[in-house]
Amino acid sequence: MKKLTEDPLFALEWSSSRLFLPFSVRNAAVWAAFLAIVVIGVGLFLPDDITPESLFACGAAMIAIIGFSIGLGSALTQRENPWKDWWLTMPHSREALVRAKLLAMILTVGSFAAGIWLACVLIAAVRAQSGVYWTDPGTAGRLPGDMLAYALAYAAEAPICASLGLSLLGMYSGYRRWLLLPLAALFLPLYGMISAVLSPNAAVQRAVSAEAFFYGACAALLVAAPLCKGVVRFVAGYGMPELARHRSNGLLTRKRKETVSQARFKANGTGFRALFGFERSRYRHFSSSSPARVLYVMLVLAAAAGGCFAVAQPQGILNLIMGLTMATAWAPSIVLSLVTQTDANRRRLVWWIALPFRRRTLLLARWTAVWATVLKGAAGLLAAMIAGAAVRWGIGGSVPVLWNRDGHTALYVAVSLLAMGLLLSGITLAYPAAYRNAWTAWLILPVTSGAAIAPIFASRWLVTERVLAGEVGPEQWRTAAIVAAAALALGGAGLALGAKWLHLYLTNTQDAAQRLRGAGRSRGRPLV
Amino acid sequence: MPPGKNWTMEDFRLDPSRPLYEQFTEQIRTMIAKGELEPGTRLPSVRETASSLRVNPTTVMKTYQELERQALLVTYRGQGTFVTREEAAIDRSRKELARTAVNQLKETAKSLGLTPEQLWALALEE
Amino acid sequence: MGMTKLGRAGAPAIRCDKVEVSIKKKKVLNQVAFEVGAGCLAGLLGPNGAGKSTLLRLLTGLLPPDSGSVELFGAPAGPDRLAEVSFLPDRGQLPVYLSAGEWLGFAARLYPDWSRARERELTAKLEVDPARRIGSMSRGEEARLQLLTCLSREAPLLILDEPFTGVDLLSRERIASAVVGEMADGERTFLIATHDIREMEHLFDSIVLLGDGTVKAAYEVEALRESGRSVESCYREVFA
Repeated sequence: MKKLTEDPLFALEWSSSRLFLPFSVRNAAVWAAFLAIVVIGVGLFLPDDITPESLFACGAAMIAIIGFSIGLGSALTQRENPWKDWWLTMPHSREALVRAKLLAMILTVGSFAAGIWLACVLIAAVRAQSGVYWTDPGTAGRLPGDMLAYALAYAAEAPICASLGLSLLGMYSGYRRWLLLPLAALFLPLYGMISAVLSPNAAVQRAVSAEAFFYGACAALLVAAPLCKGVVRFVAGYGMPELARHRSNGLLTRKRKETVSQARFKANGTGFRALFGFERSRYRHFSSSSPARVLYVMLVLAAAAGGCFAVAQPQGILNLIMGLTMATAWAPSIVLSLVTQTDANRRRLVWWIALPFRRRTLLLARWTAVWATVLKGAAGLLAAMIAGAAVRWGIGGSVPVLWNRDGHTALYVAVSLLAMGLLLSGITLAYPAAYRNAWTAWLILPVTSGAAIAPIFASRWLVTERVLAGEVGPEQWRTAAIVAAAALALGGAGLALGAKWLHLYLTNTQDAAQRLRGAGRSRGRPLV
Repeated sequence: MPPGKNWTMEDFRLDPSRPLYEQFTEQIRTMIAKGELEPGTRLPSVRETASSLRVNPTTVMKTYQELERQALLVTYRGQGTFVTREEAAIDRSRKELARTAVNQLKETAKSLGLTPEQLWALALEE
Repeated sequence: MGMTKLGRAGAPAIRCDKVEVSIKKKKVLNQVAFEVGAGCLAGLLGPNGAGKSTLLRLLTGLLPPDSGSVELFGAPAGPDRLAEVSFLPDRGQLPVYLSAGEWLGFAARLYPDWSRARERELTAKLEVDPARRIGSMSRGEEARLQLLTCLSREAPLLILDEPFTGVDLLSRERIASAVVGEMADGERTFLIATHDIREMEHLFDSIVLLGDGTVKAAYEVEALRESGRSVESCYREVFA
């Protein structure tokens, strides 16, 4: 096997990854600044009862998310990458192409892992030094061992998560699409892990202990190499031929008919109504595709089953409602930020912006359509859940639900989380203002990327353990009211800002960003 | 009644460095003189002509105006533009073309230091 | 929607004066000044990277100028003038998940100046199949559908950015014919950015030559031909 540094394919892949990594003085400064902010920020706000093991485990969850995201991101963007055809026609085997890409990805994830590891070590060390923060006095002594064990775990995570993420490239059609379900089942819970591992609960602490991670890491390291090899073969064998056949900017599913016998979407009304209908047609189209239908039916069945089982446990139905509302509240912000950027990348945005409407109206229609779609889907799941619960209730008779108190709690959970979702989705609209200059970028990006830390915020201030235990009082409702007021105010501001700078999307596409980076004029903006 | 005419770009040879309306005028005039465009033929509207020849409508408008000035085309309100049925006008135009051709011949002869007759004889020599 | 029709009668359709734009600290347009009279079919010519697309984005209000004035029919350009401007973006894309007919159904509702009669006429003329999915169209077909969208509106100003990029010969001819057919009544103004000079030079009645972000020259095309020059030779003189 050739030496890594001599492989031109790897060098090419790495040359694009390293633009984000601290290999230049400028990037190193940005990374160091970011690290300092994280260490200070987390150090200040982390609750006292959180153990260093929880902290490291939280870091592990983040690395897993980053690793998956880098792999999935690459798999998702390859099809529309203008460079695609050049890449595929290079005179190397497809396995070599994929291997080089995966290697560069693993090293990228590894770099992020090293950064996170350093941040965790620093936070733990600072806290141990000052003593007052850890409730358990024995933590300082455990630190050196922890450092090594988690470093090993982090190292094992990089190849596993990156390769699993990249494997998506082989799951675009045929029966292989079913593999999306286990992949999603691996990836999606990671977001929950971030906050779950922080719990001081004894079982959780056992799971996140250095010993558990050490043995886990050893096992993972054994699996990593064969897994990577397998993924390379899988992607080269199935994904690459499909990628090669795919025509850029074409339909997502090739087998669809080229013509439609009858218009599926009829425009109604004029003005906002027509615009709303236009926006909705996108989601109606995608939700009518067979994979989306299958996925939704499975979710409905899961919700019904969940309702059926959860109703028998204390807090069960409440947890289920919380999970559903959480997803409902978060989804619009994610969809909104993806949809507009994708439109810009595919040069579809310009038609939309040039429609003879006020930009606020455009954005508002887009926002409303996303929420309408998500709420409609969520309503179906809620109905399934209630149906499931009703069946169980009908059969089993007694269930440990105090209707009055739990109803009140459920209402609070739903209202406060949805207010939070409204707030986030409103803020997301301001995103294009970040493109204005470096200052606005630093101001806006942390706020718009707030969606990632929102679950932590929600579990710390909105839906706390006390709330789940049924203690919802005026104090909680006041917090929810504040969030709702903030949603209105900041949402309005987000709409205004977004409308004002909407056109900046046009000059800030994926394509343009790559060109700019290629020209060596990186803005040094963290893109993760 | 003679049929209507539909132009295509193949009907004309254009030099992009001369005013287009001049060239259209000349070439249509020749078509009329040759009888290729029969008297009374209905010509397509400015819009149709511009669209099928893919030229600016102003060019077509100026061409039609110039040919009307030379009395080779006539426009009846609400009916369209037609090649004139007046033989006199067509004859006049034919004579004009002949004169231009002879003038060109004279120019050539002069540049060779010959009279037109000498040029003619020279060309017919074995 | 608050789209009001502004502007003075008799004012030029487009008027730019001392326009400057920088993108990412690079000056893309520098002291740009030119006019296009109402009812004209003007060509905006220039090599790649001359700033044509940026200039057109200014006219459509998609981008504000850093300084200088951009006026349409005597009133400032901006996003509130979109009802008067029909814009064909360069290599832009319509929603791939819709069929042509579905898109036109939406467009008829989204554009207040839509003409169903024009749409029907042009659908036949440009040979667009309403049942066909946009995602399965060839480039030429999609270009024709996009032009159909632009021309079915009654906006007084049409701005077409590279309507011929990657479009086959027959589609190009159909597009050019449709453009001419639409402007023959002299009530609509066209500004067409292209580097496909041969296809279009017979169409233009004036041209603006843009290079390195400035207006290098502007001509009435027939006057140019009176002096024995063609659009192509003029382009070579300016840019070679």
